[in-house]
Amino acid sequence: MSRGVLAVDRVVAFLLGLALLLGGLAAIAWWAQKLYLVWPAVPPVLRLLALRAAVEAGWWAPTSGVVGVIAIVLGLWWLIAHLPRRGVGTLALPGAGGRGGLRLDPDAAVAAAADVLAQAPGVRSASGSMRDDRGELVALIDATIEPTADLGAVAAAAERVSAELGHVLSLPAARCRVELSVARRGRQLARAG
Amino acid sequence: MTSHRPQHAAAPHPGHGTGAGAPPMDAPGTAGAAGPSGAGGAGAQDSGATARTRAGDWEPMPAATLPTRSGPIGVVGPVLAVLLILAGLVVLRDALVGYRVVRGPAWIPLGIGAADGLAPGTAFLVGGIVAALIGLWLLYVAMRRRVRSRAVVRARTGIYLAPGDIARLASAAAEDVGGVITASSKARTRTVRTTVRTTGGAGIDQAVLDAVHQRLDVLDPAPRVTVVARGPSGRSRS
Repeated sequence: MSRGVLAVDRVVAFLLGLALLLGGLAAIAWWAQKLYLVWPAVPPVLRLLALRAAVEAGWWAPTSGVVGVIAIVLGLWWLIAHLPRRGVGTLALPGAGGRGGLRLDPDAAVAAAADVLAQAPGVRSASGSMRDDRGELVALIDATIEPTADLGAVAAAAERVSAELGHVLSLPAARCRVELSVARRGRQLARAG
Repeated sequence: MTSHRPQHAAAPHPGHGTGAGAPPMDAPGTAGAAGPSGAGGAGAQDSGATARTRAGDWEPMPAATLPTRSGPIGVVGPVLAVLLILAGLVVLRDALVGYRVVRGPAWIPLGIGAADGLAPGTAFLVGGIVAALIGLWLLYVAMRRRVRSRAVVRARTGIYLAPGDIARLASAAAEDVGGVITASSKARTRTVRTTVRTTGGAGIDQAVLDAVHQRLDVLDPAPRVTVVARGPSGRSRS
């Protein structure tokens, strides 16, 4: 889900909300017989003569056909645009310009870094991938830690992994996000003796 | 996410199991060795000297912005899109009825006919109130900020924890205190409330408070901790 489609969502929700609010208030005012205060010529009953004439007119069928198709196509595009597409393809390595330059699969590098983090004490498992998150190139590592883990030690391990990953990627624009989640239960204790 | 991935990164360091005394991260360039071949080589080509420095000399990557969720607008958007598609289908159906491709009465003229001539009855009051409330809610959703519900761990790179995970850490810390039978916690990004059942004994709530504080010390800012202890002699708070 990109920022653009979220902006469309917000604008449409705002306009529809405004229309519903004003329409609703108008309906309440009409019921309370106060609508003449803003609309002096308010009719005593709902009159839809113009709409009735429109649906009888000859241009109604072709127009509604075109409008219907446009609405369906726009709606489908809008719906599909919400599907998350946050992955990143291969990236060119700096200093390897031109044709046949070296390219890096950042997902593999981040996944390898996550595997290294998974070896740290207190970390149960970790996985990683490269994301395009709202315009930021983010190396995302999801790590599950033990409930008894020393958070400081985990943070230090994550810093080291981040440093190594930054060196491997050598992309100044890349940023790092380690999301820690805590396992529900600690590991079964080994039986002593 | 909780399942173990294949640990192919561990292959170059067979001696560094989790139980081994040596920290498994002491070898420089471990990620480079495990990463795709060519990545490390290109870095060395770029600046030959840095490849030989130790991992500790490299700067961690800068922190990404706080992870956010879009909030209710992420659900409202697709719902509005589906409503637009449904409206388009109704309009298209009426057009096809006009061309006699689809049989049956057109729906839009039926609706207009039903609404025409209505007097301002109770239906308008109820409908107006419902429409105004939905409209207000849509305005609120449209203008609401993104949801940021992550605590930050003090580090030179971006490390984040969700409130529920903070609560689990707090409970585990409390259960490590002698005399505590069970512990449960509720947390937000800046406050933690731990409830413990204890066997009783003086100062146990203070010990729990210290343990939870110490465990969550690395959070930035350190959360405010409240401990409620329930023992045989009643309830205490600190």
